[in-house]
Amino acid sequence: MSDLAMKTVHELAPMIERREVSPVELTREALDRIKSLDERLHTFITVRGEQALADAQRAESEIAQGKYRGPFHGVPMGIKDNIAVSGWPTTNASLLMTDFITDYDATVVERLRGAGAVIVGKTNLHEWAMGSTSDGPLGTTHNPWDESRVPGGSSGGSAAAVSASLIYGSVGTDGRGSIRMPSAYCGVVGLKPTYGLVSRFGELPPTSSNNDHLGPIAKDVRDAATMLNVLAGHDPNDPTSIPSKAKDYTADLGRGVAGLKVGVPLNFFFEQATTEMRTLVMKAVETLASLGAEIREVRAPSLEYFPLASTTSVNEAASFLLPFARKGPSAFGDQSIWERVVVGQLLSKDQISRGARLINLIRQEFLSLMEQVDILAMPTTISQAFPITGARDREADKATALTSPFNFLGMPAISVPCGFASDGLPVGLMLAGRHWEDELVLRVAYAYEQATSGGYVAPAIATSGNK
Amino acid sequence: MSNDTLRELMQLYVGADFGEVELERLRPLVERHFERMRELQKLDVGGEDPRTMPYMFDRRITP
Repeated sequence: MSDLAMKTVHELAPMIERREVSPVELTREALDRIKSLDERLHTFITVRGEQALADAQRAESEIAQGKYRGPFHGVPMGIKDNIAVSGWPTTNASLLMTDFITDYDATVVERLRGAGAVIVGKTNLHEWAMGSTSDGPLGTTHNPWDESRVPGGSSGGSAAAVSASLIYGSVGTDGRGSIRMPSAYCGVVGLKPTYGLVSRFGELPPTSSNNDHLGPIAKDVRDAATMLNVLAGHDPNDPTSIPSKAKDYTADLGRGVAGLKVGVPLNFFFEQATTEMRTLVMKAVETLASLGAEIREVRAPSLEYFPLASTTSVNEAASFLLPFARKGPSAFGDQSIWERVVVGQLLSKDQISRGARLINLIRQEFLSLMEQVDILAMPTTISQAFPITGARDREADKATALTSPFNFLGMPAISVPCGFASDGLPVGLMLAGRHWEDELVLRVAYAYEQATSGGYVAPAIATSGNK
Repeated sequence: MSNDTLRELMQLYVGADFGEVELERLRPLVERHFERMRELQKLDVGGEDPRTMPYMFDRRITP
């Protein structure tokens, strides 16, 4: 194996364009790495090597003819297995869906293919994208930093595969934190864009249309911004997609944070995190201050009631799974999903309405808050990745406690690695911004990343066997 | 909550006839759910007048 696998998309792209790196060789190497490492990590549900090599060959021919399409041309990528890829199964990591095949691509897949990306396979997830372990009936994904730990979820396979350099990026889905939380646990970058910015057409099932977002999981912030350039934009196939101005999300990355007001929401976010997590994230905030940002402590008192409001949204996701749930818990590998689906049916119209109004009140509070500051900085998770065994403990239940408010609020939020806990596991700094200011969120994350790690840090398993 | 009540709830809201084992498993979850909904019910989330509702300020729909 070469050290090409350790590179980012923005490092590789000029080499591919200059024809110093062959997409076919790159794809072959990615497939070899998946073959050798995925027996341990189980990050993929489906790998389509022959098709990937054919796509890579096509990319190589186009580039040779001077038809270079951009940074993803000829680059091996993954897709979470609740997103449609034409002719491939979309399993949702459920035994009920192993033969479910669509004859169309999701819009994000179509856009990545249009940018010349080589889709090598579909990554594991928590069953039905409703959990934080990615330990399910179609395989148990392991955290590349410590194989006894979960990678997080639900986009656990995507985050672990990117972390272990099996692929150069993946598209995840995030209904309560399913991009950001596994990204934090696996030491990579995950962005939940503003609600409506990235099409959800082809996410199957569309479990939670009020909260779900699709977005990039990448090795570093620049790659996440580069992916967003491809993924973002209005899609008439998705009724929740919102027309917005096309932007180059990499354009402002180097502008720094001097003069920006960074809000630190001590209540709710810092209160729930472990002492070690609080210490690491406060150190990250100090780094932003040292770069010229103005730090302000802020409070969002209404978040105290957020768990009550989020309970009322279970019903939306549950309706898709009700036919299976009626058959009993055995239809689910993670039987807590059955419990949530069944109990979710007991919500009354009045309770759902009150929950929606409570969310609106919280949203108003955040709109006021974001008039005082430009960005919010807080821990992505309450703790680092927890052990696979005993994963139905409090840690699993609370894994998305800090990420989920931003799903309901629709604000863009990113998780960027901010060091390691004492047990060697990565920790995430979450940055959230105003609606439609995804570029500012990326800019602050980039400034922090460049001032600290400098970018992607590979776990030992990723470099094992490298020449 | 008796098993009969729980069974009726499941028949009415879920459309399923679960056995005793499933009902026993669901009981604490259903009780917790009702407790949380009582808490939600107690909250003042604004009046019933639709003119007081803040839909106009939903920035998600105004990029």
